[in-house]
Amino acid sequence: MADDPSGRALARALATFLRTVTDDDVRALERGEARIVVERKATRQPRGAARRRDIDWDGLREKLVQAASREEGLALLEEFAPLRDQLKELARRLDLPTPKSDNVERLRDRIVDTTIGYRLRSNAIRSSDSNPS
Amino acid sequence: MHVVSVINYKGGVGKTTLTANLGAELAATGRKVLLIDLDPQASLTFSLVTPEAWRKELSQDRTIKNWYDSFTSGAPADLSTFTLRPRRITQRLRACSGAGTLKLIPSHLGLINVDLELASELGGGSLRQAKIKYLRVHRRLADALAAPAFEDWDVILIDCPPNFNIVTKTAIVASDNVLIPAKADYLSTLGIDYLRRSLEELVSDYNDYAQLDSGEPSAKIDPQILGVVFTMVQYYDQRPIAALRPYMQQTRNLGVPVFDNMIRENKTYFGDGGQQGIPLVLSDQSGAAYLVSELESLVAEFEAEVGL
Repeated sequence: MADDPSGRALARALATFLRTVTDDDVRALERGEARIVVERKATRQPRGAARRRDIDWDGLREKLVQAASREEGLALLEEFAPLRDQLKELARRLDLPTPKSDNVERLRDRIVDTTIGYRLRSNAIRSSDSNPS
Repeated sequence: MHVVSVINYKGGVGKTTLTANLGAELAATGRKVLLIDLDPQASLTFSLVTPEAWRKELSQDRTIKNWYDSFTSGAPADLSTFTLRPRRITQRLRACSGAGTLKLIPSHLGLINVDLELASELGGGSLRQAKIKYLRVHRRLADALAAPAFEDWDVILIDCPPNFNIVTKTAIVASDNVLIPAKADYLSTLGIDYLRRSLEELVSDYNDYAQLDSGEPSAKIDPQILGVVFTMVQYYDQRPIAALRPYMQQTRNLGVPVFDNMIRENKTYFGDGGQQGIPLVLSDQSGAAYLVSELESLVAEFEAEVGL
């Protein structure tokens, strides 16, 4: 445990807890009149940083160019690049210009159109079903 | 002889600019080049011949319209008799060492009616008759260009109208390749897909009809898309601006060949649209030198792609 950071953190948490336990608490535990509960604290995530994670940009790009529908593309973006600055970075990597005024929704639309939409349009135009004659 | 149709459904994409400059530079480097103007707007014609000279000397009986009309009269004319040397560019070419030849078959504003005439020739009592007429009408230009009089031409460039009517189809049937000028924007890239589809359908229909059980055999056609030449391109830091690049990449991603060289946007030098009768590539204006150099590179790429 000495070399295990998470183990040391657990030991500290347990030590802190034990300092708060009274003799009455111990007798209640022994009689089954009390139990030990782990309660999660509701933490406010720091802006951006906590939701940021290493994104496999090439992998995400590959998933997008293989996606069969706009809906699939939007779902990918929501899952893998939900933040505005992540979408901006992805757009930069796709060599896709984006106005500063673009919000998250508009960025998603642009990215989906440039990776998926144009293929769908091309297929729609070139398919024989779209021949009015 | 290489026959190349220059076409895009969308008008105003620089078809005539591309055709005129391509033809002029090929001629300047020693090739024998024929330009055929199939667009009723006659933009290519008026970029090489003044409207006054066209009206006075050509419009009556020396345009491609007159040639198509000669079939209606039952006495088909020889297409090679409709070629002419535009005066101003011929003089400029004479000043170029080692220059070849550039001739033009001019258009006529009334060419738009030829589609109706050709359409009236289609159809027939039986399926076989309909097929024979279809082939005969669509092969009209191809058969004319197959004549010995055209054997010596290195390149024939056909400036097609921005549609896919019968006159355009006769050009495609006559062509080895199709060259597509396009702007790098949303509507133009849609137009490329329309064009690809129309080409595929024409080739499929034509080749299907060409397989006759008996009677006149007719060779199949296989015009290949030589590539897309992006036009009116704005540059920043020596490459196309960011707004254009996605459309260029999408075209490549769809499997359409795209020329590396492009035609730069420049209203000053391209804007007069051949008013002087000399395409920009043969210009001696010092300010246009970098544009001329880019056009020369484009033509060199064209020659490599066509196999000249």
